[in-house]
Amino acid sequence: MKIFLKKIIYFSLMFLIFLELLSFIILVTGLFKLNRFPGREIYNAISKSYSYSNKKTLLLGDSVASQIFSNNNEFDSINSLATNQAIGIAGNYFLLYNYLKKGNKIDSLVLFFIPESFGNNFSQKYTYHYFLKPFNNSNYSSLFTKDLKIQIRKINYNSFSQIPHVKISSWSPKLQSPDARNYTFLSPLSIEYLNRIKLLSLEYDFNIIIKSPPLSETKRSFVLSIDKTEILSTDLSNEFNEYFKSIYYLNNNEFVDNTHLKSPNKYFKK
Amino acid sequence: MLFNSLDFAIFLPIVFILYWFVAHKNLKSQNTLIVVASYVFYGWWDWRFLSLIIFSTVVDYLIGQRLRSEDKQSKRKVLLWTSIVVNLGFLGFFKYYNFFLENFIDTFSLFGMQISSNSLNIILPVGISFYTFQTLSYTIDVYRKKLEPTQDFIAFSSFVCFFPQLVAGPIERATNLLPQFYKKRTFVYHKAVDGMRQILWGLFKKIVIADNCAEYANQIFDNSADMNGSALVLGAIFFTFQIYGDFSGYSDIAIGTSRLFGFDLKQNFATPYFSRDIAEFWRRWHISLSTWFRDYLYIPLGGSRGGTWMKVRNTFAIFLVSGFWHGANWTFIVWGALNAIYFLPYFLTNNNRKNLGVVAEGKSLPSFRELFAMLTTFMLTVFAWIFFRAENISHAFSYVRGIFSESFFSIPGFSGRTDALITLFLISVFVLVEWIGRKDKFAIESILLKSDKIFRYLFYLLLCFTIFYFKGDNQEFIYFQF
Repeated sequence: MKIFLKKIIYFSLMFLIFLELLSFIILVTGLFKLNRFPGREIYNAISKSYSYSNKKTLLLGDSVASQIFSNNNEFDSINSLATNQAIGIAGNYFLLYNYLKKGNKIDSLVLFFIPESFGNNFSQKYTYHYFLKPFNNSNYSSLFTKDLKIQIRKINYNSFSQIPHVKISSWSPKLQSPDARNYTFLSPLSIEYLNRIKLLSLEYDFNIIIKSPPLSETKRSFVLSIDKTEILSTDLSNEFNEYFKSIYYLNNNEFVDNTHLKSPNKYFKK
Repeated sequence: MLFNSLDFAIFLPIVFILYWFVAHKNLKSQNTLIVVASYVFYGWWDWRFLSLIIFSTVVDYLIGQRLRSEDKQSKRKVLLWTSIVVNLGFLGFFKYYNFFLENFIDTFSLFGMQISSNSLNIILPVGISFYTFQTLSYTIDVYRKKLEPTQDFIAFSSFVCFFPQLVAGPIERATNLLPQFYKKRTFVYHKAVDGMRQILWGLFKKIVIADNCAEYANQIFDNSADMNGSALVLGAIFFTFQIYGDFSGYSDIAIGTSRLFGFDLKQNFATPYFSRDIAEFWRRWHISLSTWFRDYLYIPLGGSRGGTWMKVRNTFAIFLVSGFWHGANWTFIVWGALNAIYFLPYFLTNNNRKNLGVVAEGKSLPSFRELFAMLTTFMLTVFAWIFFRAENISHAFSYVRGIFSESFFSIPGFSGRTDALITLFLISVFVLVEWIGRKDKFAIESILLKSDKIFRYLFYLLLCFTIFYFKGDNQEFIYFQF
């Protein structure tokens, strides 16, 4: 019995070492991107944000935007880094920052998000996997605002997010207590990073266009209930006014889950 | 409690330590611990349904006692039927009540009679089909005087609720499992190591093969109307491996866990997808259920004695009941009927016991003839699984129609196609390992056992890593719903 238990313990220890070693190799070589796990598109967008492009329009967006403008695809005049709402406006800011620091020149930045995506304040169940794992590291920590750091500290096991085997797995802890929401549209962290994006637009001289992918009719009441005075907290009031004008609705049967499109290719030209 | 959950990963070592370090001194404490642990295991899902298991246990124990002292055949029969009615009554109510009610209403509506009745919102108690059959086997064997009724209530309770196989089998016979509760178990190192190996392989089958296949099988079956023919074929193949990985994986974990506690359960799967004909397939698939039906239904009906008509009737009876056992849906009955149709030609021409041994025994590769036979059987099985997986009969037929369309020759169109290649690669590795270990009780039972320790450990480490890295989305075991 003792030998059995000893062997089990030794094997478990050996496995932990083996797991970390192999995970590290898979992480460093980028092989982990081949495996199917949620949020893989984010790593693709990060690599793409470090590459050079001569396209004059950059598109950032959520998963609905990504259905129409996948960051895996090449488009004539647009370079897409669309990923998922879970990376928040902060994650999108980091992608934009990388892209501009690389020396890419753009005339326009398109923020292509459905309204709910602006409400992400990093207190949702996907935050760990989609935001912490790709961005909670030394490459981006200097770009974290004080409020973002506070928010990250609230997430359980936040310091584990960069351990190789955690990073390559689809595991993430459950959020214990999402914050109470006292806004209808723009989360405090979205406002902070939208303003930072505005500052970048002034520094690098490009204009910002905010657009929405098509929405399901079921979302009309939500959009109507938005307190539009919240946009006054940003330096993008005009852009948001245009955003609300541009929203259009489709029948619910055009969507798979009230949000994602059944046939995204149909809306590419629009 | 799911075998592939953190809860079980904590539960198992605790019970193991208590079993071998605290309760090891005498038989009673070992059995008592098993009963308590099993009730915790089951109650973790829904403690209210523990009362059903306890009730079945008490009823069958008392009936067993009465059968011991009763010599009058008529009274013995009454006792037997009491057990059958109680056990199948629970099963019938919880599993089939709504099915019969709906079909009753539908039948009357065919004749223009409208009957209004509300179906009940019944929760199906997990594992009821399994433990019901297990307890029935006890009473029937006692009635047939094949088994001495137990006087040890704790041992009998342990037999009914033994947690490794309580919710999804293997369905153990009282003649095999109950006597193991009469003897104090002592720790046997090789048995425990063997058990760990089988648990590891079971986890691989469930977490890597079944859960990854489920991703695509669900997508394709749920959206079958929008899929092309080739995607539908792939969907059926994914489901074929999903159900095998899922169920045989569960059985492996159950058998392996039992070995950790000193018990030997019967083999439930013997590489069924390498079968050369459908009769062989049914000797290798869900063996504990097939043999249960053989011994308690098929043989009492007359078995293979009698004329052709009797053979056809009994074959259909066993396959239809087996289909119906899986669930209250016509899809399962059609699945059973289809298998009966596959099986009958072999049976009626006395070719059903042609392939009794392991395919290509002593050889690394099968002959062309064997390969052809295996592929044909596999394809027939895949086709039958479509009915098993479909939501209803019309879904199954539209699925089949979709396959036999022009788009059969087009490139499969479903989302995550490139990722599916990884799953297909994993399936290939799985099939290869199963082929190598096809003569053993489980595929990795003897793989690398004779080779260097380092290679062996590397293989286990790699297997653990594969389970960790390629784990699919956590899915409940399919057979829990049966």
